[in-house]
Amino acid sequence: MSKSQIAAIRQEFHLVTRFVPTTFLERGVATPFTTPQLAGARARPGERSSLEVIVPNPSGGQGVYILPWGSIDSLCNPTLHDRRLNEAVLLLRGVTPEAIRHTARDVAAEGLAGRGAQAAARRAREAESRACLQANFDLLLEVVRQVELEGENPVPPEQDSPAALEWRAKRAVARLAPRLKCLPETVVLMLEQLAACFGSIGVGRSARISIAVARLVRLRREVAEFAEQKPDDNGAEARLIVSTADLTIQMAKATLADAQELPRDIVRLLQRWAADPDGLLRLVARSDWLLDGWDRICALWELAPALGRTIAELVVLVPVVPREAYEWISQPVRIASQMPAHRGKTIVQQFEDWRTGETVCDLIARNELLLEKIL
Amino acid sequence: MRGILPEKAMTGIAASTPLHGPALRALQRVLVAAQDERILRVLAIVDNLADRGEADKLIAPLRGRLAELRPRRTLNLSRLLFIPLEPLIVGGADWRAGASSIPRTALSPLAQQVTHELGARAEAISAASAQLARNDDLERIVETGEDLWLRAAKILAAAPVPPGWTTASGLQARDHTALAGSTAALLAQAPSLLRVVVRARAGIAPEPAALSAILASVAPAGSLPLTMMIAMAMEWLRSELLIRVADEFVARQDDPTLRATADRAVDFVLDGIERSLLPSLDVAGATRDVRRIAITLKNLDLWSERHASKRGRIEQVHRGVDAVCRERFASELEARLIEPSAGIAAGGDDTMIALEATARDLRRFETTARQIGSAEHYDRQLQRAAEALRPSAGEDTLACIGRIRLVEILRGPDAAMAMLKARAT
Repeated sequence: MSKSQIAAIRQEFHLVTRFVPTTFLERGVATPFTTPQLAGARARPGERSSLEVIVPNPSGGQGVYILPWGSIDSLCNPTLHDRRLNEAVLLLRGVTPEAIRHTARDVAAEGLAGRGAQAAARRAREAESRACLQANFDLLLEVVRQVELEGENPVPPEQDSPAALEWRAKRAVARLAPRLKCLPETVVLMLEQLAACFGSIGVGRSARISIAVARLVRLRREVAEFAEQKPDDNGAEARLIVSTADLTIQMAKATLADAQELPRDIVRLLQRWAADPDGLLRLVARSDWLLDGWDRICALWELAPALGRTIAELVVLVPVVPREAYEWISQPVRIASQMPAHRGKTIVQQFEDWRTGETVCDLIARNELLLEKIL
Repeated sequence: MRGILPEKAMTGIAASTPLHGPALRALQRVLVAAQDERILRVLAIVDNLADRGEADKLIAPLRGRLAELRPRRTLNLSRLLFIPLEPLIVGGADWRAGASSIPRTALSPLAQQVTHELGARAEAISAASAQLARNDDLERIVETGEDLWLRAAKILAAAPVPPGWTTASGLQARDHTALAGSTAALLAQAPSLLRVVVRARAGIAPEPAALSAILASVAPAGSLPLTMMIAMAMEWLRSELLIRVADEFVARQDDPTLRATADRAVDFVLDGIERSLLPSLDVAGATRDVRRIAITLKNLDLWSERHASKRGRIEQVHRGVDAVCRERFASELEARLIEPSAGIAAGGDDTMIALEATARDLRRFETTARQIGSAEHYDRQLQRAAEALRPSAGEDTLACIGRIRLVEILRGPDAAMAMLKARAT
């Protein structure tokens, strides 16, 4: 973005120099736009309009611009993909990382971000579907394990034949239903609903969130190594990424462990689901909220690792950890690892420079590649 | 033509095998169509030739693709020796006595002379060279090359005409004296110049005093070496500041032949542009060629504000480059995008991904070529291409979206959106 474009944005929109959201909803949800000027944009419910977009200061300095969702095209000229994503996000009833992810997949599946993203959207849907099926199966195993009487069946359910397991699951569900004051069919339905909710968490096995945490741990290690080896090449920015990653990893692991603990008391889990499904959904989604936005950071680093200019691009995208996160975790977090107060440098990213051969469509292509990796 | 590259024939190509005209172009075409791994194998053969001679011409059109493939091209003593002088090296047939260039045919005999005089040290330098590749960090190349360049400068400054010079180089004995002398003066300052280049590439602007000191060190060797140094520095640095410093430096000289050196260096650079306009046969390489020329011409435009006599020549080169770029863009657009786009519906993801990559290559070319001129021509060409890519009524959604994306790459989201809406109605 040229300096004159940045000046025009400054004139038209108000820069919030110190953006310290207290809740995750206030922080907004990372939205995978492909237009370079919208890198790091987040969607959140608006005060005056139904939705707002939060865009990192394009100068690379401190602060963000917050504007009505419908004003995106006054900020830049969005790609066709982003125009479709923009419309689709506006139709959402609630903004959550999961909702944005599903919307992004639906839009990418139309092909406007390229065949690679289209195929990635297809693969992501299939993987999610498999994860749900797996979670449903694992929840049923939990039901059998926890409901069968001690010594009733010497074969662990996961080692039993499919036919025998089917019979044991039906018997367990039938026994469980009166305790939950509902029909066995309702228990089966609730387990299916819970499976959709636990697909990304995993029931007794690792799933998408665990993989995302491992990816972030790898990023943290590699960026820390880079900061040590090249302290003069955006070293302060690298250390900021490491600090925030540390905090996020600790919190994500803690909230993930809390969520993974829930199926260990299947009766209580089903009771909670029946009484307050939204509350349970929010509880299970905490690690997803914490990790929101880091997938793009990890993907960027994987595309262009160990470069100072990558660090400069990443640091703008690092999500602030809102105060709400501290209320979520059952164990205290080392506050020493909190992120430094601010970044000092101003990094104006040039989106088109014929002298270096960089064009906007190259950056868009790069962003489409990122989209493939985060859908 | 893919997959039938005559690799065995390549091993027989040496300096003594002249390659030019239709035979050269035919081989170049085969190489351009070859798959990456075959190109890399041929490159390794060329790099390992004791005397690359005309074989270099073969790979010249592939520079763009090679820049993307980034093969590790190991150096040897001879190649390391002449890295600083690369901008001045021309084919034997293009060289004339007294020219500000160095004929390729002289490189091997000069390198042999240096190697011989280095004695036992040559082995250590050769071993160090073999650890380097041409596309390594320039700073690393300078660190390793500095000792060789300074020693070679001393050797060549006092070097007699070696036995067999004329046979090996095809040049006369007096040419050796001139070439060895100039090469010595340039190599003596090569470390200083390339360190400025390293810093410039890291974003640190050159110090005028440092540039002036380099020129001052070469000036006592005479007007030819000074011209060559200015031309060499112009190619390495591509900085308007360098031309200004050179201008001011030569203006201060009492010797009128030295005062003319900046003009002659500019002529050399312009000759170079005219001699080899867009040598790369692939679009990515041609874009690099255009970018190099555009930066040089922009610098020369500024320089010509103070040198009215050269303005005409610069404008003439400008127009020539512009015409070649326009023609090249129109033909590439047709051959590489519009014609192949007929296969979108039948092709799979790979076809579409390749077409998008080509469209981006063409956009990069056009963005760069606009700096030379003819912005309206490029607008018209892009508009024409977008119309040719317009989805047809019976096409399926996947093919239609593919075409719309190509239009978006070429003309931006507004044009693509308009086409998408037109299809919907």
